[in-house]
Amino acid sequence: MRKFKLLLLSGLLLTAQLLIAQTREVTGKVTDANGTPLNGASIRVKSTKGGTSAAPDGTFKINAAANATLIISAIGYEDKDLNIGTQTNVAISLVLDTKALSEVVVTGTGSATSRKKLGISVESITADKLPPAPTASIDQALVGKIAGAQISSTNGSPGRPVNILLRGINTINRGTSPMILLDGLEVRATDLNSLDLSGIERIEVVQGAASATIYGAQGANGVIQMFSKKGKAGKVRIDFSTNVSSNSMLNLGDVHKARLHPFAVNANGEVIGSSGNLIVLDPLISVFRENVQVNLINPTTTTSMPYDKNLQYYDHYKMFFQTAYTTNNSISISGAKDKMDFSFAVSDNRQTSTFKDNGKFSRTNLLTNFGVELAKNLKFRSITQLVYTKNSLNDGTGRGILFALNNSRPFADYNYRMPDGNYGYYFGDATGVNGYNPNYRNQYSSNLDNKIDIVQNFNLNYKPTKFLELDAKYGMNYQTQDVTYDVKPQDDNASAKFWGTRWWTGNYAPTPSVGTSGSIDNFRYRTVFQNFITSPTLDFDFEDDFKIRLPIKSTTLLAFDYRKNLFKQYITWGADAPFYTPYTASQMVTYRIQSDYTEPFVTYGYLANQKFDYGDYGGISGGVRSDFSSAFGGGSKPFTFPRGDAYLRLSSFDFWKNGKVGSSINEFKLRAAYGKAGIQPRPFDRYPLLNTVNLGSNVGFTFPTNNPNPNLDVEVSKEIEVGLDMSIKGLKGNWLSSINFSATYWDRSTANAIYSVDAAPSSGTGTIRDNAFGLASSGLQASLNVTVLKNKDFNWNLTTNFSKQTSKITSVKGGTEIVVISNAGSSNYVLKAGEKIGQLYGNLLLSSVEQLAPNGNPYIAKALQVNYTLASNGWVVDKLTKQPFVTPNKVSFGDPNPKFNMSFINDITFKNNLSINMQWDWVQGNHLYNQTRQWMYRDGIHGDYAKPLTIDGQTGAYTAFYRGVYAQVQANGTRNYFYEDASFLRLRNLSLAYDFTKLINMPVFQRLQLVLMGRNLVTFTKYSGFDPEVSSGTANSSFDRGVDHNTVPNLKTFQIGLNLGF
Amino acid sequence: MKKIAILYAFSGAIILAGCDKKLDLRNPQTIDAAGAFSSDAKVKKVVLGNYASLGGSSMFGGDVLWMSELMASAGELNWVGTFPDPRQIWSKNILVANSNVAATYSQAYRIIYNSNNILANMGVVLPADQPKVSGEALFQRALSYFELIKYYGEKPFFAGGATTLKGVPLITAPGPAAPDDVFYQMPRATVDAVYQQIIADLIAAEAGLPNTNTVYANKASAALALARVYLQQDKFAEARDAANRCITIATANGFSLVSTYAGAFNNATNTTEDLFAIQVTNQAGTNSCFTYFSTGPNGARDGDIEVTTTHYNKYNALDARRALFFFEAGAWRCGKWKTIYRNVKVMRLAEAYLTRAECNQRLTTTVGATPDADVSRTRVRAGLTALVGATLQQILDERELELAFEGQGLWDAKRLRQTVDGKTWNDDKMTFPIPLRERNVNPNLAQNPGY
Repeated sequence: MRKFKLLLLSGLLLTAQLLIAQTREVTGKVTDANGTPLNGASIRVKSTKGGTSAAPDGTFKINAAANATLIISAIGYEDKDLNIGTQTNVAISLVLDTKALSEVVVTGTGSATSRKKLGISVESITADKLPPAPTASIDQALVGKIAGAQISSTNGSPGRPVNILLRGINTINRGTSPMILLDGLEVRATDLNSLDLSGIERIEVVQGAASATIYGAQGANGVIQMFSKKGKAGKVRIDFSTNVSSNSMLNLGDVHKARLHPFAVNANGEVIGSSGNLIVLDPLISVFRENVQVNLINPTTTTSMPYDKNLQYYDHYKMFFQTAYTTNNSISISGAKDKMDFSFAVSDNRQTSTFKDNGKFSRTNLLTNFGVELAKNLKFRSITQLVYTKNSLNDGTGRGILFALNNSRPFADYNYRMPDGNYGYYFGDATGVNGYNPNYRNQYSSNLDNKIDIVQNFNLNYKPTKFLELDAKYGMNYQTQDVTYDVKPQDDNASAKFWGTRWWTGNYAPTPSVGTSGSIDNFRYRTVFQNFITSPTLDFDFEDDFKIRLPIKSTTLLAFDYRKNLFKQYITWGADAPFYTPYTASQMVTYRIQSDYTEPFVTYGYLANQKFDYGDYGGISGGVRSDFSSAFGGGSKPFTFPRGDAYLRLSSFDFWKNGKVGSSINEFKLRAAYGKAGIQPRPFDRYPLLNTVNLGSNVGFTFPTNNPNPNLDVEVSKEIEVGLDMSIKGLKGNWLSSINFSATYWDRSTANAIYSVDAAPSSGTGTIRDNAFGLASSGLQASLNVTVLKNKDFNWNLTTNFSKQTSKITSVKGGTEIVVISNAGSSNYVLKAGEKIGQLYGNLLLSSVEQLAPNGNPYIAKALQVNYTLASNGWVVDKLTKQPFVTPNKVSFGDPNPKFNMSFINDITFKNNLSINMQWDWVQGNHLYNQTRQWMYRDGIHGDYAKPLTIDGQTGAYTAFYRGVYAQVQANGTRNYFYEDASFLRLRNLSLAYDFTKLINMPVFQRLQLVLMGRNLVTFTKYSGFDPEVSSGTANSSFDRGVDHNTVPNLKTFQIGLNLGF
Repeated sequence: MKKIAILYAFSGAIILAGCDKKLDLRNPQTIDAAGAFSSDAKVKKVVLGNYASLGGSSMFGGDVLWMSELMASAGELNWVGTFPDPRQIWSKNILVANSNVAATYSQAYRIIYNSNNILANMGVVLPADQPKVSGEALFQRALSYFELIKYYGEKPFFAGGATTLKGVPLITAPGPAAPDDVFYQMPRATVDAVYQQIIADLIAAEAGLPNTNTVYANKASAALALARVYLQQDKFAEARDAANRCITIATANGFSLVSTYAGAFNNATNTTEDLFAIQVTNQAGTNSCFTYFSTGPNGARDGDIEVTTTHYNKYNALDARRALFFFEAGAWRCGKWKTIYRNVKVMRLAEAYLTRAECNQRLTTTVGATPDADVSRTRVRAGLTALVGATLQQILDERELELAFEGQGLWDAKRLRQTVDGKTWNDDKMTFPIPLRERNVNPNLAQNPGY
């Protein structure tokens, strides 16, 4: 036996020697299907250990025998075996691996990891899969693209952020915004929507605490990481792209004002005041001196008379809404040679407001990405983004204008100018007490907001040996914003004179009773954020490096990172402008510093993570991260976050490969992960700070009503996720040839969410800010990618993303329920243990006279039920007063968040020239509190008032019903009547692109593509407001997600664009 | 060699970055509450801040005045506004969640909290200033407890059994410190205990305060406050003496009745008659009496509180006090609160004369002056004749008209054992409930009967 072995060995040696003797140098070049060189592609001779990798221009040299087989592989491409025969120079073109598990990701793992060997869930998308939204912003483009995430576009005004909810609501204090990384470094000062899509190559998203533990106290809301485009070897590429869009506001619920009126009229049908005189606008002061006569709660009043006599119906939407135009231009130049690569791009986005005379918004981005190999295996990279944003929108959110219009009775002619040429502001109580003329505001105020963002990343990477990789990154993110809000004197305005006050004021200057006028507010904000990360990574292969015959690979990641943020705010105002122009704040009679505020913040952490992979079969990893921060633990106590994950690729085992299942399912991976991650308190949350108060010419100190716990802790979310990734070999023919499926179930909880809970007022303290809330959430996310049809000319790919999640409050310290008022107005939310977070809270209108309260008794006592009836619109009303019955007690209306959301994304290409993209987004079961509509009920303005209803056999458009809905029990109180199903199915994107390069045959063009795109073209919804996707609460609020209070709807967009590549 | 150099550079970066441990970062532009009492100047700023709190709208910035008047309306005031909470007070049908009831309770205790902390840090105040500074803090605390005990105490002091009647939580020490402090769980002290504290505070305040103190508390205002407290205890001799001290000190230091009745109101700065007033300008301070009593054309709301003819007709046609009412938006309006950005009158010298007159009449004494002389001062100013041999009822009537709608309505009605809108002075509904919010977080608090 032993002899035989020796013999065999010597035979092998001999063969090897023979082979060596016969090898010669083979050169070649590796490119992708388009001829772009594949830097770093690995080339290996089959059955030998030797190998090399391709240079930046794709070329390589390797020694190989004749007839040897080269195995060429590159990340993201299918491996290729090539028998070289007698050739000594080969050209190799690799095709993209379309199987979902082929990519490599770094987010959540810290080191480049193939998706096949991933124990956590990481979503990724390449930029070419993101639609060119008219805003050219990344956040808008991500809507619907990330399985598991709820990303919604909640305000159609230029520059407004989207709401991003990845996995569950894990904080009340800080909102749901994930951390944003650009090439490994955090971008904290710059908003996600300021970064331009055109400079981004790929985006990765990790959503939960289990996959974001390596980010420690920053990670609990998940991470969105963007990777900048790099120059590729070969000819210098020049890409130019331009597009123009026209945008108009959606009005899906046909929101309008009643076209009839209920006012007292004379025998001629003319509207009269209490004096008996006609209601007329006093042209000199633009005021209706007399009010219209109407008693909305009179049970006989109906909205039934036409506006065809002395009062005319004006469509205020037509008067103020306009089509907004957006243009985007970008040019990029990129290339690579030898040891350097570069990419340089400029893009410019311009948007106009959807309201007339409301200003413009523009953003210009300049990007550079430059890499160089300084020494062998020592690489340096610098990535820069410069962003200049200029915004002259007078009403940035548009909500002020929309509110003013929606609360004005329609007979106000807001385009009327008085003889002095000015607009009136308030047309008198006749036109509704909450309405005003936006023309006045636009006439007298102007806003200029200049913002400069700098994102600068440096990266030094060194691989001294094959075991060790050293990486250091430093990033500086700077934002400076200057806003001037200028309100001109209004003393000469005849209307203002009549009322004895100037109407439009700045933010701070007091409203004077007479005389003084004009103000200037100056706001200056500056944020400097620095992030430093250094990480050594150790890689070992037990077989190669330790000669241990186990197919184990080990990856050890150690890291230290440091973050420092400095925010400064300086706000001044001047009041009482001189009566000449131009003037600046220095000429104002009063000049004050409103705010001079500095907020420093420092945090740092250490990470150690160890991963073992066992061949292709599976792997485990585990690690800890420890964070220190100025914001928690009394400034000295760290918090340590543990993690661990494991995966098992059943499809790698022989039983699977050789079994029946292997022939249909060629990839099957199970994974599970556990981890904790945190959300930090705000920098000063742990300090009680004195307020100052003016008392005559003196200043006094007062204590805050909110007393913080000085040892406030970081909010810790822990999560378990389990998932599977699989590829199914589809049908043999052209149809359904490949199916990839990925799903993850997750469950997480936070035991110490920060929020203020009530303290006994007799202590002199209003509330205590403490780690007082317990939260829990769970969800399921899945994505299914199907190659529906693939043949020579035609490729149709369908991706379906699914997300279902729910979050609730599990405990509240002290056990009380906390009612909070929406940032968007008067709607009430309740925060209560055992209930879903963010529930609307209010009184009920009934849908049956006998309806029972939770305590089993009928809401309306049996004896009184005879007085009530069900009106034809389904609500219980008092027969006599015609007003609805409203319960005196308040209850929660339920969870406004969606039951699930789904996206269907179709990508179709035909003959490589024509591509069609169609994305449908479906959000099911979410609710909105239609506060817009409720306000329009106050003065009988809403179109509903003209809708007749039948009460106890009598039919008419009774104002008593509608006014009663608004005012019963509590005027403008929150009630279920306005709590509406806001589910929708939306054609988010439909685009058609045709590349003319092959048609016109001009070699100068690499690309000559014409793109037609439509966005938000079709929506199916039952929601009665403008748009079911909006939300008026603070962006990314944890609980304030369910109110629509005069928020600007999303826009319907038609876009035409041209993409040129040289 | 180069490799080693690079390795050193990487590890050096780690060490450098790891060295920064300065994590106690504070806001350089704001004052940490912990350092609020670190110096004489800062303590005095806290005292000023506490005057601002005292002048908050839920306290003497107006609410404790109009709430008293609305509750005592007896058909002389109508609440016609849309706000449900004042309506509940007016109709004496108050829900435990009433927001005005909760706000005044909280605000009063905030003032007490501030006073307690000021008094505990008296050591850093210049010795010469200590009597004044502590006097102001005591004055602020006493006024707050007095409003609390009147509004939230189970029954008035004079109802009997004050040593067992439930008052309000009584806290006189600084704190609370930690989230689990005992101050968060205080039970109610007795009515008697709270009154004892108020009296002790005001006696000390009167002793320590200066004769004049710009717009802030002085000796005379402390004495008048004391007179009010004694009146609520039916202690007429003590009330008379306090009122007498108030008048003596005040008149010796430049205070006097202004020449016309109208001149005593709608003032941007204190008059000689104002012993204590909340300062309101267009920059700072609030006056919620103006907000609700005045009307839209004057810059207020829409005239939420109307004066009925029942009240209006109580005045003699020649009475200048009647002429101060104005008719607007369909009803009579109280002219004392007509103009925007005007001070809230908390204590006028006129009240001291009327208190002295009443007590002298009851006790058949003439301390300071005869009842006839005292009661006639305001009558004559209003254009009426002097009274001779004034009866108690005449003096009380005079007091009602002179001080109408200035916040004493409910307290006078109660101590005079009147029935208001069918509710006797000691009816359960004539007292505020302990706010729901307070009882939610403090299980040791008992509710008032009737709620």
